[in-house]
Amino acid sequence: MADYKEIAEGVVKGDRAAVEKATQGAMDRGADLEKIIYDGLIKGMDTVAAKWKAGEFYVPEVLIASRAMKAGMALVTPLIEKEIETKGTMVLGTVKGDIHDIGKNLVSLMLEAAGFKVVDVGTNVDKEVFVKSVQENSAMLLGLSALLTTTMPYKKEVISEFDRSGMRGEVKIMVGGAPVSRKFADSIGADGYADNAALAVEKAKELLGI
Amino acid sequence: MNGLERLRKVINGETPDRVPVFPLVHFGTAHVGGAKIGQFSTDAATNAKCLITAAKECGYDGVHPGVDVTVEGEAVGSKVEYPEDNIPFVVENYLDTVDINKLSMPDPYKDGRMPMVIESTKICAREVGDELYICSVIMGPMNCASQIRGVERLMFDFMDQPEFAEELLDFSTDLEIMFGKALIDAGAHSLIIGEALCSPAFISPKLYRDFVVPRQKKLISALFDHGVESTFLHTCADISPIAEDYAVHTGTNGVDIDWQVDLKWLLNLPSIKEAGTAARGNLDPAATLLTGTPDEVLQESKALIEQCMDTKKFILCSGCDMSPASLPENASAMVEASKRFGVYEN
Repeated sequence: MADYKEIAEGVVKGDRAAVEKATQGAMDRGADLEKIIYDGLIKGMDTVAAKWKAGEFYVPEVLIASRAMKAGMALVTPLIEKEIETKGTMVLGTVKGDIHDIGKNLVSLMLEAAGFKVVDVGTNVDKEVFVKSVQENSAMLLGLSALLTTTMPYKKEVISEFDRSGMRGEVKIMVGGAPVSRKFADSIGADGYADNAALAVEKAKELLGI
Repeated sequence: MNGLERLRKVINGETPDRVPVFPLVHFGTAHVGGAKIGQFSTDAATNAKCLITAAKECGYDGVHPGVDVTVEGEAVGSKVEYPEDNIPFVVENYLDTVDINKLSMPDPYKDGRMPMVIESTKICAREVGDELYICSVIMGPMNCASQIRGVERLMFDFMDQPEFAEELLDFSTDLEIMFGKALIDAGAHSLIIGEALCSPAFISPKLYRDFVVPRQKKLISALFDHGVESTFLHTCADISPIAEDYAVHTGTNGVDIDWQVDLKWLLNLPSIKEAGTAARGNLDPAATLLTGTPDEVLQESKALIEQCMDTKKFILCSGCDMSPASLPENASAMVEASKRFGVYEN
C-alpha cells in the first residue's frame, strides 16, 4: 500500500525519478499492476486535477506532474495484457489554421486519467478528419480546441460537417480554448464547454450521463 | 478631436471629447483592405494599407502596425510557416537545447520580419501619424522567450532549470528593448506588449511576480526613456489575481483587459487609480464581437461605457484580438456606441 501512496505523491510533486523508482519497486515486489495505475499514478493525477481546479496548481506544475505519471505508465503498461475498460472514447483536436496544442494536451491527459480513451488527431485539423475519426473510433465525444479568434469560427464549420454527414446525433461535441466562452459555444451549437481541462472531465461525464 | 488627440487625452489624465475606441485588430483588417492574411503578414505596404483602411472605414482611433507573435522568435532563428490566409505560426523553435550561447542578438533592421514591422510603422506614421494613434506590436519577455524556445519547453524550464529560464528571459528583454526603440524611432506613439502567457490561466501569480514582472518593468522603463508615450501591456483571460502587479508594478501606463475581468472593478482599484493606468477593454471577442449582431455590440458597448467612462481612464476595446469576421460592422458599432453614449460633457 505504501508504494501506491509514494507513487501518487511523486506524481503530485512532478518528481519523475521518484515515480519511476517507486513504480519499479512496487512491480519488483509483485504488486498488482492495475493497482499501481489506479491507486498510484492516476490517483496522483486526480490530486493534481483537484489542485489545479482549486488554483493551487498552474500549467507548469501540471505539465511536470503529467511527465512523471507518464514515466510510471511507461514501465507498467507493456506488462498489461488485457484491454483496460474505458468510460468512452473522445476524439480530440485543434482545428484548422491553429497549432496551439497545450490546452488540448491537458484535456487529453485529464480525460485519460479519468478513464476515457482519447484519440488525439493533432493540430491544424480539417473538418473531414474529425468526422472520419469519430466514425472509425465509434467515439461518443468530440473535443474541438482553438486559441485564436481567427480559427474559432472553424469550429462551427466542423459542427456543420457533422450535420451534413448525418452524424451529429451520434456524438456530443465539446469546445474549448482561451477565447471561447459558454455563450460562444451555445451560439455555434456545441453541446458542452468548460473553462479548463479539469472541468472538461466533469462536462464529458455529464454529457454522457455517467 | 481626432483619434490621436483623444487617446493622448486619456493617457495624459485629461478629459477627451468622448470615450476613445481602439480595438485589438490586426489580421482582422486584412480582408477590409482587400488582402489575404499571408500578404498582410509579410509585406509592409499591405500591412499599413489594411490597418489604415479599416481604421478609417470603421472610425476607430488608432492602428497597430505589426503582425503575429512569431516575429522576434523568427528573427532569432525559429522557423515560421505562412498560410495563405491564416495567421503565421512557428513550426520549429530555434533553441532546442539548454544552451544560451546558441543565441545571438538579431538586428531589427535586417533579421526576419522586424524590418517589415518597422517599415509598416513608418508608413503609418507618415500617412496618418497626425490623426491616429500609432501603437506598434512587440512581445514581452515571456512571449518572446516562448517563441524562441517553445511554450511547453519553456514551462518545463521554469520547473527544471529556472536559472536557464531567467537567462532566456533576460535575452528576450534586451531584444524587445532594442526592437521597441527601433519602432519608436520609426514613429510609433505607443507600443502594445504581447504577453498572453503571463495569464493566471497559465502560470501562477508567483511565477509571474518572481520571473516576469521585474523584466517587464525593465523593458517598459527603457521604452519610456526612449520617448514612447504609452505602453499597453496585453495579457489574456482573467488577470484579476495579478491586477496590481500587471497594471501598477510593471510601470506601464496602459493595460489590455480581457472579457473575463470586471473592468469597472479594475479601473477603480485604489492603486490603479493612483497610478493612473489606462485600461482598454473588454467586449467578449467571441460571443459578442464574432457571433453577435451590430446591435448587440452597441448594447454591450453602451453598458461598458456607462460603467467605466467616469474614470476617464477607459478605452473601449475588444477583450482580445478581433476575428476578421468581426469587421467592419461590429467594430463600427463600437464607434457608434462611443458617439451616442460616451460623450463627456465638459
